Amino acid sequence: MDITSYSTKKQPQGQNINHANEWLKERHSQWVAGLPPFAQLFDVHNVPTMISIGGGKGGVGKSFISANLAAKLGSLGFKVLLVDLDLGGANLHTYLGMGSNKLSLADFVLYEQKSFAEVIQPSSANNVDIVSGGKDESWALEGEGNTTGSLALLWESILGAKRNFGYDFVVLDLGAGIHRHTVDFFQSSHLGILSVLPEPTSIENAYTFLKACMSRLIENVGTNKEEFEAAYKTKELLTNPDRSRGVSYAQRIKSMYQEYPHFVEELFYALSGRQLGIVINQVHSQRDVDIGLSMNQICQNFFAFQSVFLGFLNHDDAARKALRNKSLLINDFPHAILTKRIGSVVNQLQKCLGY
Amino acid sequence: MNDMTTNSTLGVNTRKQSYYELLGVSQDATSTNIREAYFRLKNTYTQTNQALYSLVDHSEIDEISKQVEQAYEVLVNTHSRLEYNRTHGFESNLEEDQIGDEFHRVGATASDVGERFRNFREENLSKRRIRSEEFSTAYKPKPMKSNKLSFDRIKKHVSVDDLGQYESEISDLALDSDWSGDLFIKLRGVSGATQEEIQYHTKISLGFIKSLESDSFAQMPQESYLKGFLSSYLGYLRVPKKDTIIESYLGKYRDWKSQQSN
Repeated sequence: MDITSYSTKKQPQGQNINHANEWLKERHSQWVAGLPPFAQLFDVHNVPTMISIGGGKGGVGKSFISANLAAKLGSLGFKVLLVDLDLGGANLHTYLGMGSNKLSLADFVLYEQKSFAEVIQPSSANNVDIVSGGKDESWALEGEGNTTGSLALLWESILGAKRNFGYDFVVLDLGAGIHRHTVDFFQSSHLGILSVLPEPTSIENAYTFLKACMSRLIENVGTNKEEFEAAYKTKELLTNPDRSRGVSYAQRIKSMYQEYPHFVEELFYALSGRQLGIVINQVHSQRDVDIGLSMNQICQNFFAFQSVFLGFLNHDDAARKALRNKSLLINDFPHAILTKRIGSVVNQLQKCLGY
Repeated sequence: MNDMTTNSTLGVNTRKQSYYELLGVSQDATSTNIREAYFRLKNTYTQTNQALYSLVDHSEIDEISKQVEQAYEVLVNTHSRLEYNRTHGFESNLEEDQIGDEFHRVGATASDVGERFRNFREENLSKRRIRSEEFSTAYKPKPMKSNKLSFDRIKKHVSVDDLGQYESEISDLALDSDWSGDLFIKLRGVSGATQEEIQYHTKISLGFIKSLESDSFAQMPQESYLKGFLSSYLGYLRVPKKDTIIESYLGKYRDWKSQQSN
């Protein structure tokens, strides 16, 4: 299958440069500096705004946030493509109140029988199309080496979603854990949303996830700039437990400046092109919200990420009820407080992406 | 930036962070910025903060907290901050009075601040003085009225020249059993008092006095009030045996009232 063999089911929309967001245009070269090497850009000006939702731990509401956030963006008039990348535990379609699709990402990536355009299905939400993740058993067959090539195709499809299908936003629902592809998608999106529960387990996994993102970014920058030695040394410095007492990641990276000034500059350049949003989910009290604010502070100071506290979502039984009613929360309970919180998160998200 | 001492105990080839880097502020930050950054970090690096879980352990939190405290103490004081800039080679192209805000300028000692305050106060005082002079010329205060008590208003009886003759004349009139409005007029004629005089001294309304003298019962008040008014009216005119007169007059009033109800 070739990348040019997209079906003409959906007509390409805006190919003009002016249509691109100012914020993205300004930070485009910074963003490209940290992309994985196999992700090739065809049209630098027609890149959709990539938002990915991760969090390391399972059950922190990644799929819930993805579905509702995408629907909210869709209701605001943006064209949104929702991609379920929770390979092996895909249930994003259930949040949208849809049955499991016959066509899924597995048909595109694993079996390579369908084109990306064929896999895209209209969803129940307005302006939102979905690529569902496929059945669990098909991903269990995934081999070690053969996926990189087909995943490169997936990368190209996602990055070309605006050029080929006219999507403004691509919302990626990532899976739990720190699998290489998961981390790759998170650190290479314009806005990575970290979903955290106010519990030690979730916080611990979130930091692990961020550390993995940082080392992946170092790898990518090293590969892109062909400074393999610098990348290797920096990664070693970050992961070595004996050398890490009381010294933040940011400080440790800065300490490499004497040896590899060009590499460290490039790394910070890449960091300035991507943002990290923090959402605290299932909040019960103000103390839980304060954890989010603190984490935002730590992400800035400790990891040197450009982080934004996007907001919090309160604990609400409406989420479960909507799931049982097999419909989307923001459609099923439009006046719930949780719906309003999602609205404020989306509002904040638009602000920090310059919309 | 020339503090490049390697941290040998930790085994990391890291130069020590400058105080500015530690607090995360720029070199030309105002004291307000520094204070804000300090409080933000102090609130983040506490032992009870859940958000630090698995990232740093307890002893590290203490260490960072201590460093932050140290950095703040140096940077918040303008003298020590300048000294720090000088010794650590920060190229601060700031003039002394550019650091900090109005009252936190470098080199501002207590006496300086005191003098500034004194100048400020004197300026304001002189302004106020001018303002008060303008005011006094524009608005001359009026002399206050003295409200003296006048006891001549309180007068219990009508003033008569020959009291003995007056009383004998009055008692002749008072012997009349059929008391009516004409008799009131006659009584007043003997005493020489006008209706207004009686109103002024007894505080009975003029309308009532007129209705009394013209026997118009319809304009009279209730019986108990009528009794009081009659008492003070006759008392003012020094009428002897006024209780019998009041009783007879009230009897007349009652008869009229019973006729009205029938």
